[in-house]
Amino acid sequence: MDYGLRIASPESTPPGCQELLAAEWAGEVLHEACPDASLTALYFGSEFCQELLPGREDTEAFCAHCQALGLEAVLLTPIVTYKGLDRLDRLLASLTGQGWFPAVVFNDWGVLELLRKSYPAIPPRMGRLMNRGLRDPRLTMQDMGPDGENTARGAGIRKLAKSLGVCALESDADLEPGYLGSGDDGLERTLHVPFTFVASGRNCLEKAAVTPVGAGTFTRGLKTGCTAPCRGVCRREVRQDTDQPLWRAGNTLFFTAQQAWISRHVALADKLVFHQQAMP
Amino acid sequence: MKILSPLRAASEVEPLLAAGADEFYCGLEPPDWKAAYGARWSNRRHPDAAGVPGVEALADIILAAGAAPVHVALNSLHYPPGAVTMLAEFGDRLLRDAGVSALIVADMDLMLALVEAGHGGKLHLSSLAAVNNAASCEFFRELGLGRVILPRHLTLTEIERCVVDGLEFEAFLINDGCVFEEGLCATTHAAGTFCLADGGGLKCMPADVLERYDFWKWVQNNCGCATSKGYPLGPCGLCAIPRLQAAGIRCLKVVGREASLERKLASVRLAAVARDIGRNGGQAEHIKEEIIALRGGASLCTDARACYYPDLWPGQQEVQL
Repeated sequence: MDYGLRIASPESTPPGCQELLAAEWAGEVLHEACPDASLTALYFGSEFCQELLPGREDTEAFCAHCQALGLEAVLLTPIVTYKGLDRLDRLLASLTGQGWFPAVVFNDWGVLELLRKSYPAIPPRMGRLMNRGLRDPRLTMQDMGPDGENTARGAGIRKLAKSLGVCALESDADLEPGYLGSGDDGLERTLHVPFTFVASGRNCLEKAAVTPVGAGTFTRGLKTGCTAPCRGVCRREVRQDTDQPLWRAGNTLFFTAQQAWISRHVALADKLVFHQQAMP
Repeated sequence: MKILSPLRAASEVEPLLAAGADEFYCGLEPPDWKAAYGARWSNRRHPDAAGVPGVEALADIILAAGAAPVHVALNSLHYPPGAVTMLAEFGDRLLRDAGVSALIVADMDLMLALVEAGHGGKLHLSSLAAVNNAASCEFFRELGLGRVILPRHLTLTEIERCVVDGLEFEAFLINDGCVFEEGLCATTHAAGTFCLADGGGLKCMPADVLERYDFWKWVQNNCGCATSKGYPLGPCGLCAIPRLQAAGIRCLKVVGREASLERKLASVRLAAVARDIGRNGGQAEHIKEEIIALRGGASLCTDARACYYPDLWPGQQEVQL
């Protein structure tokens, strides 16, 4: 078992293992998984919003930072429209032109197509949004069936991914463990902890909060750009219908998965990725 | 352009055809589903409130529909153990023996099983797959799918940039918005509509933002009512038909499997009026005038508050949302 860290800025200094073991957001999981696990990768970018895709300079700095630390650089990418795809294409062209080949987490089949056709030297990793499993915070985790976790779930998508050159499969702790499979597919299985996403979309409350009244944020927001006011912001959200700790980060709602839920997924994972706070 | 209408019973076919429907879609559980999976839903809607009651009822629908295609939704995003096998076999029977024209699918494992069974061309990729760009459309075309249903939250320009040769495209036309991107919403309506209570307990968010958010959610939920003339009062893309047609969209979705026949009829009538104006060369403003005259609810149109495709109106004064 090794682990990675999701960082918020391109040159964040990763905490050491002892520091991580003492951290509320990682310690229990890491201690259970493997207290002497090694940090092997840093994750940077955005899984949920194309407006948050980093620019060329930040991404190059991130890659150089990872190289200096001897860690794998992993670039997170979200679902994209043509604008996001064009932007990502330009970013990858620039990076590869400078000799940087970070692994790329894709959450959009179009991004995988871009990687396969234009950047075959970049290792593609299938992101957690490709697992469309249930993550409703109002529900409890499904009991294991008589044969244990349902590792047959996702068998088709894993087989397809492997045939297309994908090297890894990522998920968070959903309500029906098993999507990561048994490991027989030859895909590295990566679990993001402790935040599980609940729902995401293109109508963003953080964007609305900085848009003048009358500018039509919710009706016209899709066509307007964004200054990313959500960077670094993570708000607590409370609902009457769930006790789960909910977090709003940008355009996405998350909850903190319970340790018992995470444990069932850890058993199916080869690698953990820790998030200090929920980030879009 | 074809108007795709929801339905639940054979008795709905004739009036919906008369109102202007060209194609139909419905939800249907496999006969053994409840015994195996209890109350879990197989197609994103409550089977009793929104589904066709059984295979026999579906046969009646197909008989009544005649040449009009009938599609069946098997479009949950996730299934319990064993369900994909059951649904793939069920889907195979529907396509081979029952006269169903196409299946609407979202779960990749189910889709791949049906592709492997030779049904790719008769699969419509649900909007839940959240296909937002042309490269993604090409990916599914290479898998052999016949149609892509584009998600709700795309602008017209984004739709225009999605369309590729060798695939049919369907777009949302009227009713029932989504607060989140539905393909990225990992909750289930079986536990109640999660998004309607969203934001209420959000700490440190300005009250006026939450107020605007609540209003927008209310519109997405069809304002909880109809116009005084009996027409639906919710998300609507009727004026965008000429742009959608020019973009290469083949089919226009009327949403609302669970709706009453009256609401379905009213929605299809509006769609047909707008489609026919577009067919005859009418543009967005003409459609808007005719629809407001027929439906009412002018204020929602004036401010683009209910627009599925508000980027149709670039010159209009921005709205109070």
